[in-house]
Amino acid sequence: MAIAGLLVHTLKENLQDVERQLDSMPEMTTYGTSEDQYIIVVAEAPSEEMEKRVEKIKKLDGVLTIYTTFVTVEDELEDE
Amino acid sequence: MDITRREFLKYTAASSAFMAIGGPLAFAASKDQTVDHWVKGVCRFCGTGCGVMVGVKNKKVVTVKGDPNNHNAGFLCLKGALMTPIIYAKERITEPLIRKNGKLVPATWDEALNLTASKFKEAIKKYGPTSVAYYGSGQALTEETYLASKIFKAGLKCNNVEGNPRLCMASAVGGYVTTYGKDEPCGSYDDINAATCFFIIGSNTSECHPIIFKKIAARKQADPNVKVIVVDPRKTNTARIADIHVSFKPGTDLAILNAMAYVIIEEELDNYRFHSKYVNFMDNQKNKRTFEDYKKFLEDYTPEKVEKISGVPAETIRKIAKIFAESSATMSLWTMGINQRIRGVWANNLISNLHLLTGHIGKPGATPFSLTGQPNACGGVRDTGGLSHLLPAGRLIKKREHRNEMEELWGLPKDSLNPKPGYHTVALFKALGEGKIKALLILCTNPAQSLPNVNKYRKAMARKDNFIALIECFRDAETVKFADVVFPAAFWCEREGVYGCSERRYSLIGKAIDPPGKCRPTVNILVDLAVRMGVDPKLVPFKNSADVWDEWRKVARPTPYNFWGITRERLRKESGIRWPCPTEDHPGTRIRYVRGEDPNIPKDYKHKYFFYGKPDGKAVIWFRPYKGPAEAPDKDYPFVLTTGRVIDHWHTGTMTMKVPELRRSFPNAYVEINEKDAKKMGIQNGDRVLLETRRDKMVFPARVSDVCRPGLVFVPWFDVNLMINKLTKDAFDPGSKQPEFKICAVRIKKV
Repeated sequence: MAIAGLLVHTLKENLQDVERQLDSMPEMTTYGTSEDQYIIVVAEAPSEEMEKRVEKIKKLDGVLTIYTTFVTVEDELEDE
Repeated sequence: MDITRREFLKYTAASSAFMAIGGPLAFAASKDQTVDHWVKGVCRFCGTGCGVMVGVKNKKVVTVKGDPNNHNAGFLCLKGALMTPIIYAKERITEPLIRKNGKLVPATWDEALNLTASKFKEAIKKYGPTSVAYYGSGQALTEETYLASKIFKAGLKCNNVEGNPRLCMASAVGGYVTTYGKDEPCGSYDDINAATCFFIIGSNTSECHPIIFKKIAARKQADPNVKVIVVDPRKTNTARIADIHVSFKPGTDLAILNAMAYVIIEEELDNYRFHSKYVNFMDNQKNKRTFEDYKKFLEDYTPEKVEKISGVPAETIRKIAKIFAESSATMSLWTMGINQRIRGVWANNLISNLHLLTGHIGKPGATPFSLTGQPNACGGVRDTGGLSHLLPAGRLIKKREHRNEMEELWGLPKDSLNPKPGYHTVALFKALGEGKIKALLILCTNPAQSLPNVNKYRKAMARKDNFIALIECFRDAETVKFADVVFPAAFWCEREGVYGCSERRYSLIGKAIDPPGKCRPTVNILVDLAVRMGVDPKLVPFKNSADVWDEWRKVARPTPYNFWGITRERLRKESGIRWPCPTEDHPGTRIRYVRGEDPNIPKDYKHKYFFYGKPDGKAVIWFRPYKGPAEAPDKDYPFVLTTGRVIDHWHTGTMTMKVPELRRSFPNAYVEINEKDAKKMGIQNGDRVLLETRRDKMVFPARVSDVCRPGLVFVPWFDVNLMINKLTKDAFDPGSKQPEFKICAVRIKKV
């Protein structure tokens, strides 16, 4: 499994709604929001799945962009 | 993996995100137990030059995160965060290769080096030093390019030193040099946080420089009065945050920029005090003219006249010109859309004209600012003089005093450097095809995919009577097919060295791990090769890149590029420093040409601005006429073809296609077509569409959308299997010699 730190930037009016939807996804953990409408998210997924899940977030209403701050594939390397 | 360790990783991931937005420190500082150690570096991809931290565990890179202390403040785009699989790609070349009976087979270092050296020596002996050449890259380290350029220019007396930056930003160099007298931007990324208007032209910042786009988007969100103007024939993702997106007939932007100048003067929004004091007006023949002459010149570019040329409503031109001039601080950003044109230098001049006319320069947030495509095109190739007409730190080969200065610094006899500039890139590969270049060394780039009209130059590279040596990391890079020898190079954080990004910032990439197999750092390969070629060992007394860096500091010190204060020790401690930086206690420079900011200007200088690159200290507003593209659409080829990047791939895709996530998001190239055109031709998403230019034809899957304007199609160029550069045109700017990748005529047909 890969683990990624994400910042999800949203419109002001959609912030809470996007956060709620993220919380409902089992592979996403949210860690709070910032004043300028960033949601701090940690995503866990096999690396080949990661971008699909990120795409899913991108399509939520009010999501402007997603930034990646961290990706580790440490345990995937161990599995090899 | 046990749950506790997993939790640690999750906390680290979250804390990196917190740090990126300046979140609570208590959290960010939570003890990091995920890796053995972190090594500071710079992202390997675009010219934004984001700082990264490379996480090493058990001598392997396991993670990459943003450096919170560099300009990107911890942010990375997805490409940057996914570097790890590239380092460990199965395509890595780990031993020297020599072509025997048509196949590349393993060889020893001695065999590969001796063979290459003998081929170069033989060519020089038989045909003279102009029969060999070097083709480098804005991906190589600063030290590597400086050294290669020195070996060829000083050691072999050969000025055929070129590189990918000729394809990428030579026109920006030409623009800065003709307008201000010196290359490189006057402003910095700091300006993004102070600008109140962004004028983005010929740049899809959102996809090509995501972290810069993030800064712009954040600035706009923080202050709703900030205006964003995007001028682009495509409605790109960048255009989607714009207050005004101006679509225009491709190739007519010079007329639009002149029309904006017309409106600024008509509306009396020009800064008369500034331009009467700090600007010379000059016509195309380099004659000094007056402001009144300029007004007269602009009469051909009234918004009404330009509406007919460009298809942009006169009212829109008036509106954007007024916003540009009336905003308190306007920052222009541009890249390949302006540079990759047959009049790219003029287009660059015309952007600067608007800044010099309004005085939007040299104040926080007010600056022209070109973006770079490659991570070290600025710091490596432009600054160190890694092109065929340049010597280090802004010196020119054709100027005798510059050559004499370099001869003294390099310990060469006076007047011993070759005074004749070498071939520029298109001419170099043409000469290769004509059998004039007998031996070519290519470092860290992929011309068999990246050159325009590439079939022609692939044929040149395929000639049996020339010798091509490559310093390369990946065996699937297209150019490897044409190599006679391949030297395996240490990649990215497998050796230490400096990258310099778009904002004159030099940052160090630390060595995090050992290179695999028999790979060696390029500096050592170059030194070894040079000595075997017969270059005086005293010219290359370098054990590693740090030695080269110290010489490069010395060489730049007497010039306005002065970065004597950017020592290796400082680079190890700090996350990047911007030159000029003359002393070790100097913090670096955010704004050039302004007293009190630029250390090249004496503190007691009598005026505020000093454009010291010009003999009288004044910048130039150029009278540059409108000029269309080399190949406009016509009845046989009625569409315009343009090319570019997509967010998840970089350059020829050699690296990004090795990352599963990136590969799957864009597995292959496609043609983007406007929905109206598609409807007319009965083309639907996914249909196979034949593109044909005067050079070649190829079938692409269609993506129908509103991104391209009607009459325009776009194809990304990362895909080696659908190589769009077989269709592009190799016409080039007569000043900068940069080819016009961005426009050629094409016909399209559903197949």
